[in-house]
This record gives sequence, structure tokens and C-alpha cells, in this order.
Amino acid sequence: MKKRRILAALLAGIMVVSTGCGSSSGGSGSSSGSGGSGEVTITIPSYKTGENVGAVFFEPQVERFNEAYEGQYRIELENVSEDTFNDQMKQLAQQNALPALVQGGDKEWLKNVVFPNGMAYDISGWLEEHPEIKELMLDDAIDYCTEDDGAIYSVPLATVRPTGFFYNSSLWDVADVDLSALTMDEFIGQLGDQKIAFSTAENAWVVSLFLTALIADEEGGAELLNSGIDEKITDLNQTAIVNSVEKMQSLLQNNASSNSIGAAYPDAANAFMSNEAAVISNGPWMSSDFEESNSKNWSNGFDGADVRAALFPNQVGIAQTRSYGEWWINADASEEEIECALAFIEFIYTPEELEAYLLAEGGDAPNLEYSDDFVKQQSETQVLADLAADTTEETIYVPNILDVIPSSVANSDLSRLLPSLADGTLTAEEFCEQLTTAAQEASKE
Amino acid sequence: MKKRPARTNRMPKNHWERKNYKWIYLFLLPTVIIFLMFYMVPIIQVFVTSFTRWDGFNSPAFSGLTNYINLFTSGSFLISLKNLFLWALIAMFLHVGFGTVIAFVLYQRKRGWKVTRAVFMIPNVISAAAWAMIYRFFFNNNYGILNSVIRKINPDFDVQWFYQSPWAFWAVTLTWLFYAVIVTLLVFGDLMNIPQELNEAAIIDGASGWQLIRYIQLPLCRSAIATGVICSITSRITMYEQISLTTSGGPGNDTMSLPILLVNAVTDYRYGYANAIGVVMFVIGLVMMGIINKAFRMNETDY
Repeated sequence: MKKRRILAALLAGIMVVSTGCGSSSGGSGSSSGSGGSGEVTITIPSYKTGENVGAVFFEPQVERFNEAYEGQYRIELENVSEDTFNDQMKQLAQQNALPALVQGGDKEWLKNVVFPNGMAYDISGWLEEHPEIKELMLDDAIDYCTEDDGAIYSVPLATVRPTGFFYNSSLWDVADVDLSALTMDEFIGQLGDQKIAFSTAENAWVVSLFLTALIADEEGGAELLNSGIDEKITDLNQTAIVNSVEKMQSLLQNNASSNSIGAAYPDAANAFMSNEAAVISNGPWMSSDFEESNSKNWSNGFDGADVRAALFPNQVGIAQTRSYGEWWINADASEEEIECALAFIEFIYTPEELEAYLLAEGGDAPNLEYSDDFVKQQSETQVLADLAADTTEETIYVPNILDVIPSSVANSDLSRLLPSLADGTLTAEEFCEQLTTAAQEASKE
Repeated sequence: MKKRPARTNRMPKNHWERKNYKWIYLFLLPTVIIFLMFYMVPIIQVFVTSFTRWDGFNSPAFSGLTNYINLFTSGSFLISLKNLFLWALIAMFLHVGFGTVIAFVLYQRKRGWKVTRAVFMIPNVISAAAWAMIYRFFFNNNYGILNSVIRKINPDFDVQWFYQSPWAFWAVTLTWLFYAVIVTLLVFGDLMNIPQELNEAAIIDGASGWQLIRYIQLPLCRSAIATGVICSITSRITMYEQISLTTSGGPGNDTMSLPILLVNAVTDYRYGYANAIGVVMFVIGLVMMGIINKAFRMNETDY
């Protein structure tokens, strides 16, 4: 009997202990430290790993860093899904388990929690000691990342990747027309009855890009969009937006590819890469889809070599230069880890690495003097060369409308209302009125 | 006549029974801890923070009834309540009705009933999100099976089921309407437990097949049907994936639901408001359970 009681007590004890302490061994896997050899190693969770499109450039870049600093610093990557990345960063922060070098995190969290609460390391002093890096950074980005007290927590961007549109020259032969120099009305006239691969589901990505370009084309539209970076737009009844929505409605009714309503981005891309539509809008990172190595995704006689690119009419490029950068350093990291993190930032901001990044993912580094080799290689990728040619000092940068309206409106309400706009159930005014109601509800304290 | 003293249920416990209690409590402890940690505390937190302005990062600030006032003056919220009411009615009568009919058909145990039961259960192992994606293809205007079949009869047929009023509401409804396997299993379980003597006695008394169902079997399945109604209505209260992955609550507000509003509020870092929606969902669930409990006399025993 005594043995049974001891056994029962033991089992009950184990159950209680495992319940209470089951989660105590958690951890991010973002451990860091220095090995016996004196090499400082930091592990960083990243979504640009595995099958993610960003991994194609980022993983080899980390390898190049590890080779360059062999025996001194080492970075190891931990695979995190892009969908859950921001939430995971918040959880790591709550557990005080953030890695030394942190990749992003959502803007509101950085602005309202991380930076005001001293969780990030101030790199302003380091930037002053490295003027060659600071000079490469965009003025707008430095300005945005500089806090009232002069501290800089987020590493400002050095590159801008203006989004325009891609078109299939075998369906729409306008290669001899400078499309970005046209007005929007001329562009729509030129478009005729060509089809655009729109997506209206999820966050209505392709529609949002065209809608942004239409707003930027209106009088005061670009200023309106840029004002939304600092304070979200909650009144969408403004003339510039209503006029743009009216044009958008016409495009949806006359130029949308047949699968546009209810299409997510992959559906739109599929329509474009199967010759169902002549035009699609997306960022320069889509250029890799048109390389021969990705021809397995083509159908219906589509040929990536026929694809050309342009910025939107009136030289509008959709890009946000006033924003936080991709990296920040954990203030609680050890001195050695901070040195490793700073070495990595210095490495990725070298001209060679910036050029490699632009060749892989497109875009422009306005403050970088390009090497001849880079210019030659860039010209070999037609769509990147087209976008580079359109990106000049005259280019007007505007943020995507999705980034300047409340998140729930961008991610849910827009796609909820677009079908009714497309089938004429809602007029442009009614559509804007309903979006305004949703935006104002979302902004209530 | 001398009255016999009433027998009390509270018999004195012997030594071993008293000693066993501490083991019972000890083994219950993990469950109680889990319940407190993962259910009770979050529920209390939801209730408390629904009266605050809270962004999810910083400390909540008490805001009184502001979240509830904002909620009950929101057009989308009122429409989502109306949709919930309609879906609850459909769930109660059509969904549960269909599941019950299938259970009675299976109970006849005709040839192949086991295979039929297994096949009927298959959809239940597919997640709601996967079903939503399947239905997106099924209802697709260009290449969906439904419109392709209809166009054999009417070549000009052109309906975007998920994106046009009033079809979207019914398209979303069809994503769950016929998957009533839980109801079927509950009712079927009760049917199998009916003592054979009861059926035989009724047959000897001259009851027809319909009378046997109407007066013997159906009343004895009352509790299972009520449980089915509770399950299906609470599923409608929490229904998210089927809407989010198909219509996002549109077109307009045609398929708007409380979980969609809740997730939107979280997206905007309005956790206090989101929790107010959570409280409303919780209260609706409790009220529905109470009503169904009473209506079906679930506390009364059948045998």
C-alpha cells in the first residue's frame, strides 16, 4: 500500500510540475554568444529564408558576410514564416529574448513600443563615425528614422524600389512610347481594350497600386498620399480620391482580366503569365518571374522576354522613402554582439552589396555611384533596365494607398467593397463614403 | 402510524473514502490549473479590458462603456448581428435537420450504411479553411463546376457567387450547411442507445414506421439534437475562415460577421474594442445555450 501511495504521489507531483513549468524551457533559438574559438555568433530569426522569395538574395549574402568575417563574426539564420514574423518578434520581445540584430517588425510596434521604451540601440553615433555609409542613405529615410532627441534606432534605407507596371509587348506593342511620360488620361487612351490583371481579394494588391497611381495623378493627390505617412487618411471622400475611384471603376468594368474579381495576387500573376492580360502592376522583385529559369510558370505561349516595364504616367513611382529601414539592434545585446551586428550592417551597405541587391531585386540607390559592371549587368535584365531608365530626379514617389489608410480598411474593407464597385452596385461616391465610414470607425479611440 | 426517518444521502465516510479525497483533489489539480490559466484568466481579462482603450502593447486605460457604445452604433455590427440571427435559424432548422435525417437513415441499417457513414464523415477531417478554398473554385464564375453545369442549360449565365448580392450570403452558407456530421453522430449515438424493447413494444402496439420515429425515437434523441443545435449555433457565432477566405464580409456588408469585425479591430490595434466584440459573442453564446437548454428540457432524463 505504501508503495502505491508513493507512486501515486509521484505521478501527481509530475503532473503538477509539468503543468506549471511546461513552458519554462521556451526560447527563441535566437541565442548568441562567442564560441571557444573567439568567434562571435548571433542567430537571427528571418523570413527571408527557405522558400521565401527574399531568400534567393539574402541567404547567400549572409554566407558572404560569414566568409568575409570568418573567425571573428558569424550570423546564423533561423527560419520564420513571413506571415507570423511580426507576431513572433513581439513574443520574443515579451520574453526578453530578442536577437541582437532584429529584422523589421511592424511600424506601429516599433514606433509606439520598441523605440520609446529603449529596447533598441542608438546607431546615430556609429553613423557619424561612418560617413561613407550615412551618405548612401536616403535623406527622407534618415529624417524619418531620427527621433526628436537625435537618436536613430532603425537603420535608414539606402535604396528605393519604385513600383510601376509590367506589360507584355507581344500583346500591347507600345515599346516605342515613353509610357511614364504620358498623362494618366493619355495612358488609359493608349491602353484601349487591353486587359489588366487585377486582384481584388486579400488586400487587393494590384488594384491598390493602380488606384494609388490614379490618385497621384489627380491635383493634390501625391501630397495627399504623402501626408498619410505621418497621419493615416480617414476621409476618403476627397475629390482626388473620388475621381480616381471613378476611373478605377471604369478600368474594372472595361479592362479587367476575366478572373480579376475575387482574384488574389497569384491569380492575377497567373492571368498575366498566361497571356490573359497585357498589363500587371507589381514591384521590381517580380522581374525574376520573367527569367527563363521560371518558365515553368508560363503558359498559353507567354514569353518572359516580351515583358517590358515602366513607371506610372506622370513619372509616378510607388515607394515609401519616409519609412523605417529593415534592421535595428537590440539594446540589451552584449557589446560583442552589437559589434557583430554593426559589422553586418556595414557589410550590407557596401557599394558591392548594394549593387548585388539591386541586380537581384531591382530598385535604385540614388546616392550610390554605380560601377560600370553594375550598369552593364542591369541593362541585361530588360525590365530592370526599363525601370532604371524611368527613375530620374523627376520621379514622384508616393506611398501605396494601403500604407496610408487604417490597416483593417486596407486588408479587409477595400476587398469587401471592390466587387460592388466593379459591378456598379456602388457608385464611386458611395464606395468612398463606405470606406470613409470604415476608416473613421477603425480610428476611433 | 410512526413515520420512518428520511434516509439521508449523506452517509458518513469511512476511513478509506476520506483518505481518497486528497488523492482526488491532487489529481484534479493539474486540470484546475490548466482551466484557470488558459480559460478563466483570459476570459476575465477579455471582460475587464473590454472597458478600456488598449493598443495591445501599452497599459490599458479605462474608458467606461465607450467600446460598447461604438459597437452598438456601428452599422457593420448591426448587420453582422442580423446575419448571425439568419445563420443561426438556418443552422437550427436546415443544418441540424439534415444531420438528424441522415442519422435516422443510417439507423435503418440498410446495406452499405457503414460505408455511407464513413463517407459522410470525410468532409469533417478537412479544415474549414481548406473548404473555403475548395468552394472558391467551386463557385468560380470562369471555371467553377457550378457555373459550368448551369451554362450547359443557360449559356449566358453569369453570376459571381461570392461577390454579388444576394448570392454571396447563400454561397457562404453552402460552405457549411451540409457538413452536419457532428449532429449525425450525436443523434445516431442516442438512437443506438434506445432499448430494443421499446421499439418492439411500440410495434406490437401497432405503431407504424413514422409513428415509431415521431413518438418513440425522436423524443428520445431530444438531448442529442439539442446538443447538435448548440454546437451548430456556436459554430456560427465563431465562423471566421469561411468568410475571411471568400468574401471578407462583402460584397458590401452582405456576409459580415462578428469574428471578422473582431479581427479587423485587432488589425487596428484596438484590443479593447475587439474584446468588447468578444464579450458580446460570449454573452450571445451563453444566452443561446440557456434558451436551447430550456427549450429541449436537456436537464430531464429520458429513461
